[in-house]
Amino acid sequence: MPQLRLFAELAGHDDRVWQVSWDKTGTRLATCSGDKSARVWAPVAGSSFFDAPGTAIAPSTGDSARTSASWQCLDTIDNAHKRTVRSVCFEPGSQTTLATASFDGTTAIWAQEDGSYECVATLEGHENEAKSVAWSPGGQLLATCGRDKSVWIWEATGEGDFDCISVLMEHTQDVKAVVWHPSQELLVSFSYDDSIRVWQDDDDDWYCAAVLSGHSSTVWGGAFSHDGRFLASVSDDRTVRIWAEQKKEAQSDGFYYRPEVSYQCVSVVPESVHARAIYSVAWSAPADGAPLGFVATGCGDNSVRVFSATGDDKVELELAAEVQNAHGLSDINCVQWNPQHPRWLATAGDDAIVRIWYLE
Amino acid sequence: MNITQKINDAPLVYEVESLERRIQATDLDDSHADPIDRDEVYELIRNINDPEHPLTLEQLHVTNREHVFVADSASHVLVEFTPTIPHCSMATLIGLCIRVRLLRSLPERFKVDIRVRSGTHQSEAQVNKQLNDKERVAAALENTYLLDVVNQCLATAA
Repeated sequence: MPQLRLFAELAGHDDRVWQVSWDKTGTRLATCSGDKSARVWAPVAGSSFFDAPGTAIAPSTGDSARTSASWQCLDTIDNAHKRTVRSVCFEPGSQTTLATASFDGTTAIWAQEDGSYECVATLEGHENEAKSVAWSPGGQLLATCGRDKSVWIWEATGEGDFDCISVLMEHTQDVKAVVWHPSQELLVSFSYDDSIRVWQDDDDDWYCAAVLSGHSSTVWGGAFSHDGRFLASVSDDRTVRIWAEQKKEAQSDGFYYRPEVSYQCVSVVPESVHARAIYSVAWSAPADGAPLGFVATGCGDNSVRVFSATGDDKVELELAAEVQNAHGLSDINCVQWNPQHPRWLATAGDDAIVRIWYLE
Repeated sequence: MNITQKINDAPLVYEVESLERRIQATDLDDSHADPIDRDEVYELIRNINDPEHPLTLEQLHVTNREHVFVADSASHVLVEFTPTIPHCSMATLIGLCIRVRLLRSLPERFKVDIRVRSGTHQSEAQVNKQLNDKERVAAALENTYLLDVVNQCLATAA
């Protein structure tokens, strides 16, 4: 059975870490926290760290945690926001531009100028807490969502300017997270209303193309498979669901039609596997023994779990590795696979620590 | 929130029980770890003040010792509380006060679930969902007005 081995700990945040996000090259990691800051970290040796990471370490506990010598904190954006920074992501193709979304309701764009991060744009519009920000893979679009039940789509117009091109108001409760499809212009949102919505655009007009129902409580987040064929979602109902897109004939009402997509739930990890709410899921690139890659989950029961994904139309998830108390006795808020270095996983917890693991 | 107009202006007030725990030999033995039990958790929350009356949650029978469930070895606490009336709009605030009190007092290892006692509130499912959503709780605790109200309710509990 494979094992997750810990190779680095990143200590510095003063409060729970909500999210981690790799840049496209997999050599920088952005993190955000209840301490109102965002941080950017990197291995000291750059990408060669992933080939020669040194020896595995044991997780430290409490105040004894120190940032491992093999990693460094490159930048700290202190007081990035007036309240908790809930979400962070890099601009695709950039190692120095990032977006942060905060409980203060704003989304900020940060760019490095003369060695330090400056706020180059503030996206305002959400009535209260913004909960997630995601940059489209091509970099032209940015999606945000929040407590006000809305999903906003912003277009980068160059020179740090963003125009809101759509406000989507169909969820009936807070929207917890937004995720883009890896190759199509398709956005997915996950909500406290227990549903998942898929959004598409029709000539710059965004509309809801599918509603995925099945979870029986808050859906905290989701992740697409590497090829974009499948979507994994995780929930307060303690299940992981895998959804597959079903091809549907376009239906015309005579004047014009908006193509709908339909998703079917093809696999469920039952509630017996996770003991409390599942807050995060990540889906890796294909790997030996797991042609569909590995699905990692971060759970309120303090465990990080990794499932191998196999199958063709129906996806089978098999528990491949589990680390109990991966962040001491704290909830795991986020898990993210490195996009370039297979089997490397970053995790964040309520213990204010970020950990870097390798799946052996 | 309009505090002057009370949701329930004439609640029943109950006698409080005296909670005297007999001292056991192991209590004085520092080498013996005392598990956290129901009495200890109840002691933390019984004197929380009601948001709209100068009375404790215990006096109103909002909290009840029998409705506190503690599994020390599993690091789990469940508190069920009973709103004084089934449409009580203070229910989430009361639940938040209980959660904050336990958050500040119990060791961090504990996972805490706070629920309305089954059948005692018309929006039971919504109240329970909100009280157990860590993100909503975190956001609520950054709201200085709300935090002031919570702290006032907790002032009597310490």
